[in-house]
Amino acid sequence: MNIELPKLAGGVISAEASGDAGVVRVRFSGTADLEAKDDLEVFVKKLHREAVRLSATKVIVDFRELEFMNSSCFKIFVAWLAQVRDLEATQQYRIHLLSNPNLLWQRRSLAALSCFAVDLVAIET
Amino acid sequence: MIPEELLERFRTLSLERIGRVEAMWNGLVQNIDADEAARQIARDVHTLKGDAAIVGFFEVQILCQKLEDLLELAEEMHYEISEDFELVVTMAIQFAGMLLRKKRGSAMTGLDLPGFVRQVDDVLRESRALPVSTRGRPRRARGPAAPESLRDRVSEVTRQRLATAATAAFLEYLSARGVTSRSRLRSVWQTLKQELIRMQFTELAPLLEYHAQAAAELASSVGKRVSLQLERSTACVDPRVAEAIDIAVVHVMRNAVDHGIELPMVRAAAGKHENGMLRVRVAETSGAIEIAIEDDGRGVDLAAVRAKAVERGMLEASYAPEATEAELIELVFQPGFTTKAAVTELSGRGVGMDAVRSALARVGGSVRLKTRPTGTTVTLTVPAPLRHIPVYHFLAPGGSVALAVLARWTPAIDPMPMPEAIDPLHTIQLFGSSRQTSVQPPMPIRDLGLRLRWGFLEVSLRASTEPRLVTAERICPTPDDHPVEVIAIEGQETLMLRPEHISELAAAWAGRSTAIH
Repeated sequence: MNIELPKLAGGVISAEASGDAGVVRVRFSGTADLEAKDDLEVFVKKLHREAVRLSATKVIVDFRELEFMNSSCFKIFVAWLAQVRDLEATQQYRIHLLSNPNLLWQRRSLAALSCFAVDLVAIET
Repeated sequence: MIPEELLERFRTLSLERIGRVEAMWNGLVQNIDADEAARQIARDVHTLKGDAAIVGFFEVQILCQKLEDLLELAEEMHYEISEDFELVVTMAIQFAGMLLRKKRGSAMTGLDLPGFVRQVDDVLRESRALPVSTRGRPRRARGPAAPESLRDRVSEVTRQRLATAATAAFLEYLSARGVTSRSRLRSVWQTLKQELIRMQFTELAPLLEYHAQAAAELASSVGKRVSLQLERSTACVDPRVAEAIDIAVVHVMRNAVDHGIELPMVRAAAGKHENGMLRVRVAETSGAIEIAIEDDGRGVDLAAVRAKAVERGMLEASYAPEATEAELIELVFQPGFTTKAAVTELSGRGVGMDAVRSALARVGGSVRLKTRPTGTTVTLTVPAPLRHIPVYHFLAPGGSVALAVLARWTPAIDPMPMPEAIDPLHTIQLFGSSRQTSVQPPMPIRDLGLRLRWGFLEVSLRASTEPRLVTAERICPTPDDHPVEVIAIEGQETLMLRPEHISELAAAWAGRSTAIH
């Protein structure tokens, strides 16, 4: 499974993706704030396109090293979930969010995020 | 059945409305035209709620209700809201948009409205449990009640005005002749005095207990357990100092819970008790009050502080290995160290130790931090309130009314009063008063002259006893330019004169009906 997703290496956030056996993995680190918003938006759109192109069944998003995400960046993920929900059932993929219980922002935010697509999103710690 | 055409129109208008709400909310949190934006958002959300109810979009109606709750609370908090709060508002707006786009008859597949509402309720509950701090507005009554001292602050000017009115009532009481009038005026004075005492000083214990309980609740909400140890204290502080402590304690305790005290399983693995400890001690020293907030968490990760400081250019890389613990701790108090330190130690998003230091510095206080691998102690030092003042205490001519002047005046006795000596009772129109306002005179009553000197000022008064230096308690502090103040000496109410303003007093009382300002 050859994923075509350039590494995101902005000033404050970085992300890299890999994939095999129908599973795409993406790992974020740094801080997703206003400065990172545009890069993040492009990255997540590409991620969705790649997941669909590769007929992925699961996308694992590792937030464990992401120190913080502001509301603008969260909207990118909300929009992503809406896109996945709008796909045909056969194209939909599940999203696993890996969270770090020591990062307070993740506790509320990821739980709220999952409410947008509770049938597609799972949170793992 | 509502026609599809009407539903489409509702959707279109509502989506426009929700887009406007989102844009204005973004402006609001950035403080752009806050008042007008807040009003417009409230109108739009309220209209949307009503429209949604009419066309049967009950999920949207529920969400709008929650948005209204959030917006109302945000306004009460002057939009000094947490990231969680901001996020959940943003998400609620998004959620409403999704619900609006949902076609009639389509299932709510994947959208977990009850789950989302629970998240909103949690944020509301946690935010209401937070103190008002510097925001100054009363919070709604729901949730844990803030200490009365926090909810009922008044400005220094208002307190001084009340003290002035109370002093006037006291003087009226002293000069009243009828039993009924005396009783009524005494009652008015007592009521005003009690209010003043309540406003003048803020008890620390309820404030600290409130924050400690809030911290324990916060800990519980993130899966941590905290045992509170609050040592009893009767310390009181000036309301301004209480406000500074309020700000400081919130940050310190939240940091202790967020970043100091570990999760139970982590603690157990480290051989600690699963319950973290948060201890608060108050010590009164001469002129100062110290509040020590101690946790038994993991302590400040000084290596991480060192690395972060180098990364941020706050510390020269070449010097970093030599930086002392004190230097590294000092960095924690620097503005800008906050966000990145969030995942290391001590500070959370937008919650910096620099805020603690600034708040305390504004009232002449300070903060120091000691850390070790088994915990952190943050000690806040603030000035003790100036409740007690030295005064010269003497009896007015006739021996029935006690008077005092601040000890900054130097007294000298004339065995016979000088002709120009002022009779203070005459000045304050209390001649003939038989009201006893003091402890028994310490020496025989005579007709004396009392010359008071302070710098270039000199005032001669008539008195009936020699002055004695005592410590008085300020129970009704009037402004420094007010001619009189009621103080307590050995529990007895006593009039303290400000001789430098005695002529103003005479003028004020010349008309008798004129209030003393």
